[in-house]
Amino acid sequence: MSNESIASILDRLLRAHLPNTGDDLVIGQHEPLSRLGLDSLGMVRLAMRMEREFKVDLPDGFLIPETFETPASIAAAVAVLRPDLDIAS
Amino acid sequence: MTTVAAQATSEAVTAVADVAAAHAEQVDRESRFPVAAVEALRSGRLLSMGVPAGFGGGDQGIGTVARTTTALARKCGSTGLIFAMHQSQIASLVRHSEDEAVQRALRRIAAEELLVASATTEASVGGDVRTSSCFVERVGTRFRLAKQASVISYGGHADIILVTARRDAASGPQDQVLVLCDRDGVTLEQNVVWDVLGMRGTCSHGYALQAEGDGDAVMSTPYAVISAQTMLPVSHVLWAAAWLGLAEEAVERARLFVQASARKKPEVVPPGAVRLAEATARLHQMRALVGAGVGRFEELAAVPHELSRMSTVVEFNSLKVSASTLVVEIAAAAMSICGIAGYRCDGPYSVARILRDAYGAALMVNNDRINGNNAQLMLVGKSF
Repeated sequence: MSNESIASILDRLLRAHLPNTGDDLVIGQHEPLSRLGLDSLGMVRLAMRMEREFKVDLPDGFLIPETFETPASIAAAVAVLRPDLDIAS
Repeated sequence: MTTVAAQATSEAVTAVADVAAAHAEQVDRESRFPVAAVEALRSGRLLSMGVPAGFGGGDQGIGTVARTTTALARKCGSTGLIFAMHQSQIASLVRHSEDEAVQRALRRIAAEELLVASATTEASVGGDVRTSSCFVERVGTRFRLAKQASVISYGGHADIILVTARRDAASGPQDQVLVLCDRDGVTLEQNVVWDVLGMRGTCSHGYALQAEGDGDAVMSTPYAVISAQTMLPVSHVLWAAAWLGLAEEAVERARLFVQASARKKPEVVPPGAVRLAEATARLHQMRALVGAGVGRFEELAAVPHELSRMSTVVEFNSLKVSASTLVVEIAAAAMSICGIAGYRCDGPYSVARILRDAYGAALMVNNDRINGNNAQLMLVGKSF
């Protein structure tokens, strides 16, 4: 992984996978991503990108809509799977 | 369920199946809603079979509902499928009944034996039921919505229609809610006629739907959740149960044909006997498939997040694809066994209506679409 912060990586991934975000939009940590257009296909693509960016295998138990509900829920999943990373940074 | 209650339910199902059988040919020929069979379901208190006792219903689980569906579909595919769709809507209400309006509706459904339909497809978005173009408009304490529904099965005969729509005008196409639309507040203008190959009695016409009612009729649980945890798995199990009924009846007719041939010439094994053995093996395969689907839902029913797992979605999608494929194979085999007698539209060995009904299975939510969705989900899932 580069020196890019986790929060920054997540924000970048989300912007790449959400159809309803402009550059000016601030994505709140508890913003329901479905309202920004994240659908099931978007979740699949996002999951694949997360596996690559965070060098992690998302187990089936994490492949549920609740994981992708908000940026905070995604960050929480990453924190569980990669406790060595500092999510807050 | 007590033995006496189970016996009463079983007798009620048999009585309705007899009514369905008596009208099946006319329902199919004239593409008519099976009025008599649904009235019999109503008077036998079977429409509320899946409603919990606390709301006044029959308190039956998915196993009994599936077996009833199969029994009805054996005699009339349209009646069986209507029952399956209705009970899928009931399950969606029961399992997401946090709202008082939903609880009131369930009490009414049980007390008045109401028939529940759904309007999930939309002309502008095709068959993708997880996408809506129409939206809920709030006007004070009321709601209203307008939907170009390309298909509403038995919409013209339903007492309640569950309609998917975007949460509001600003919501994305997948930010859907489910709206409980009482027939009194619904206007249906039919604009597509259901004149099709099979399942003709489901009267799945297209309509311009307009609905209004109290604002609390908009269910608070997002449709994404209702779909993943209930509508999708229950629909696929019960549709498969309906198709199993078609397959069972097809094999039964083939058995009667082969046995009649054997009795005419006891010294010769009829040529269709081996094919009958093969078709029966397929039928057993299909029964096991549907039984496993019922069991899997019972196992996961109380663990909603497990039902939402991508791997579980693939599982219930696969059930639909497999059952809809098997039913055509089995019905076609039965027709081949019965020969011209099976090809005929009348007579005790006719498989014509069954085969026509069976062909719809792969198309109601097209298997290509479902396999496409599974293909996407399998890009990240780990165990299937």
